[in-house]
Amino acid sequence: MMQAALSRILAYLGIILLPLILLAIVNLRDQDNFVYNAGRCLGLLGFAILIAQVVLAARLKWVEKPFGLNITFPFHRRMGVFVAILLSIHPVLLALGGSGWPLLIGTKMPWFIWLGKAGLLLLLINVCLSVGRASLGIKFERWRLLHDLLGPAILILVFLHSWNAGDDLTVVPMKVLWVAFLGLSVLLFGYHRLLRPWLLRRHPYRVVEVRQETPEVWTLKFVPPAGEKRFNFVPGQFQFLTLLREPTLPVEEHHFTISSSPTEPDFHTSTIKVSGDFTASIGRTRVGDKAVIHAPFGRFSYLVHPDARDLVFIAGGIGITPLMSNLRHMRDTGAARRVLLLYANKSEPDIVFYEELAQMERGEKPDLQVVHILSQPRSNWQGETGRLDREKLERLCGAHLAHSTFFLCCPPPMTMGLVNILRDHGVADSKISFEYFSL
Amino acid sequence: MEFKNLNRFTVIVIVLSLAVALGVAFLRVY
Repeated sequence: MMQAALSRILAYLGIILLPLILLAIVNLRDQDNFVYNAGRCLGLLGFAILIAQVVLAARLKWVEKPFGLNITFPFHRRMGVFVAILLSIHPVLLALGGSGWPLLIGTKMPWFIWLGKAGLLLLLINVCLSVGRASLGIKFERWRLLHDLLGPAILILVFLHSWNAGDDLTVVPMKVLWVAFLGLSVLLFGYHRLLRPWLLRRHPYRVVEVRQETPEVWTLKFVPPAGEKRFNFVPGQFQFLTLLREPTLPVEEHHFTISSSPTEPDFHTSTIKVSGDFTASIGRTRVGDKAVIHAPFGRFSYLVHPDARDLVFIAGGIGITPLMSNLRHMRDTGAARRVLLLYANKSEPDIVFYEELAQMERGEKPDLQVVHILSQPRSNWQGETGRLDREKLERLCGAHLAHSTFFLCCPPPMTMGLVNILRDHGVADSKISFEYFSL
Repeated sequence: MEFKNLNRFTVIVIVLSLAVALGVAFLRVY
């Protein structure tokens, strides 16, 4: 797996550094000063990073597999911020290096400079919208539509700007590379946003069961199209799901964990909590509705840690679903693992899979111990109460802290708090896995 | 790669790419 990750990292570095390396080979000497040249080189680097952003965002299995999308997407976001800063510095260095301040503040300049300015402005808007989406209160679907429009617009503007303004693009190898970069991004974007969705829609899965687990949680069961096999996955992975239901219900793509085990050969399930505009309608899904599924993704699986015998699973509310997939897989395969599950909920009716977990606890494999923690229990509740804080974690985990491998799936603030406590106890980062899916 | 190494990795990519860009700019002039 290390080799797979390394090959992807080298490919990424190859893309973003290729223009500079090519420039160094074909057209090294230049009469301009260092500052001006630095501005030009940052411009070249910035365009290559923009191309690599499309590669990162296209959900390509080859790219995602060694890391998981919950690594590649946050990396895409970080590099988005970096490239916005980089391309903001680019004209400043050119101005300092000899072009003068009219480049930044003047109004009489060639059209391709205006295109560059427009591209930079859209890039800054795009990054601000992406980083501040939650605090700006922008709905995910609306943000994604904007992102899909702004991304290609930025690339085209920056391409036209650099093609016409860039002194370094007068040599043939650089021109070929620039056209190849643009072609690659157009092909990837077209595949990711048009061709693949169209292909997936031609082979939709079917909803065969809609089961209410708790007042706010529903399990949907899917089967593949007639004559086709269900996709392969490992426990703990997730899917991108678009439900095609009655016309009044929203048609949106969202990611949901797969809650069933891959040991069930004919179907898979997602267990979904009502928590937003889209999920509010989840209970109105009907048997026979179609589901467009792009899967599997993620690496939140005990199978990624084949040598870990002692595991601690920590779930907050609906965060139980990927852990349930792992537990079901252990049960079905007779995996000899010892698992302590700390499962935090508000009250008894909110506990999903209560009976099945109790049944698993009575079984032999896995050797499971479940500790329910309720923040607002009924008066007759005998178990743990309150929040899962430092004191509880230390007391409940006990000796587990020294040697176990931890899997956490909770709301982000709770996850980060618990991860910090585990680190305080010397638990190595390699023994802590957590779901932290955020663009 | 674990998630916690992502920030470190991002910093390495940023520093490396800036070093190459400034390095090429330097070599072109001197």
